[in-house]
Amino acid sequence: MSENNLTLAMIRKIIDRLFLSERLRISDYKEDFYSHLTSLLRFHLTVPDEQSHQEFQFNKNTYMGLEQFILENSDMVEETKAPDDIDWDLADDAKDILKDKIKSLSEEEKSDDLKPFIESSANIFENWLIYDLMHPGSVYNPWIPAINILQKGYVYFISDDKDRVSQYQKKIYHKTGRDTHSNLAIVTRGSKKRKFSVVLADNRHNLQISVYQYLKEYAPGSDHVISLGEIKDFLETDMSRQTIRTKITSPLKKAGLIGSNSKGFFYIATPKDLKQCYTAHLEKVRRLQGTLKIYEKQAKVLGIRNLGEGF
Amino acid sequence: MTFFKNIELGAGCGNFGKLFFSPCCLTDKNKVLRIACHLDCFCDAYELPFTKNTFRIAIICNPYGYGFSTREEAEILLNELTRVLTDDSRIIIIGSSRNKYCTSKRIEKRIHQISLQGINIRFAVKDIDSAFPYMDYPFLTTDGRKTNPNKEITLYVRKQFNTGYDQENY
Repeated sequence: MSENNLTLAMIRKIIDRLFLSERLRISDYKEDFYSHLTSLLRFHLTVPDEQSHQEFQFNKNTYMGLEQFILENSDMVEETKAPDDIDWDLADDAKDILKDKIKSLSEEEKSDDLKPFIESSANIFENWLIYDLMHPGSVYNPWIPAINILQKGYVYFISDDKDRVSQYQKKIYHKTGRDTHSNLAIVTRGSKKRKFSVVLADNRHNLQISVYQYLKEYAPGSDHVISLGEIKDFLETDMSRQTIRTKITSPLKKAGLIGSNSKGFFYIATPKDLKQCYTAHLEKVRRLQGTLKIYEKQAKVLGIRNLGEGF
Repeated sequence: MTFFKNIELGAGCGNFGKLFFSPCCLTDKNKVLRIACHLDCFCDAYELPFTKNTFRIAIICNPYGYGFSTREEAEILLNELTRVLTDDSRIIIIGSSRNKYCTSKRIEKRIHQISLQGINIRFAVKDIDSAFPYMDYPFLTTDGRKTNPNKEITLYVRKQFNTGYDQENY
């Protein structure tokens, strides 16, 4: 997104590009769902509040509470102050356009089955829009990954209501074999009638909080790193190191909450730590840019124009 | 319930209504709060279990998940509130100007969008500052985080519009 304020014409263009996916593939949206929750959690961890030290569990109540807290207090983490007036008419219009678009894409326009998906998707779109109107182009907007799910052709709602979620996928709670009563689930659908897919969130966010607080206390800065093995011991978990990396440390790094070097992970405490993280990522980007340039040259040899188009 | 003159919706574990608008019936939809909070009634704001003309003031603090976000939900809420409120009553909404469920601009717009039969609603908004009696009250989000509402919106409700009521002097 640009750093200019969004206009209705720009929003209409975004909505015009939306479609409903013909396939239902969990791998299309699962990471975006988890990334959205980690982005919300970022505010829980970085905003000074006595609650951030208490045990936290994602359920519908805490999800909505965080949503409200972030929209009302985003200035605490953003560099720019939100304007006093938000264009609520623009938000209303955007929601209406989005709802009409989803209805027009659906085979069952008049069915109540679609309603929870439309209402929830419009609500999430509105959150993204309000945040962007307050802080244009902000990378901290926690609804960016949530919008990605819509842009991949899925409409959805998020719920912790076991009975409600089970209506869409009966065996979802049996499959996991654990008590997931209060865990959040995302229920998605594409273009097909009565075809749904569900992802029931695991407890990675609780572990992310534990690891973040552990590093904050025992690894304050790049001179006091803690290795992945030590994190595994701390968590007393059966998870493999790769799983810990995928579910816990990498999302925390992506959210800018922790840093790492060849020896381990650390809490970013000083300008030196931040510079080290930045430099390491810059180096990775440069290497990737080098690879992209090689592919572009190969594309010329193979007579391919616009290599990246269509992705 | 006749003892109560006022009603607070979505009261949670707070006691705002009892502190500032007593005698007030504290209500909430969330039955999980039954254990920890002192609520008088568990009910949905869109379906209040009270007879018409029961209360003088309805209070809503930091609503989230219900309110004025869409025209449809605003219509249901106002229909229900004006049913249980008496003539010459008030709806007081306290919230943040960034709360999409109760931002003053949206509420004002919804009032113009909705037509309630036999009901007239007048809108007024004030910034919450140090002069407000409840300035130091610890307002909370739905999951109990501290938050600072900055607007007080009052909806003045008049009924029996078609029975000789003088609009001009209202």
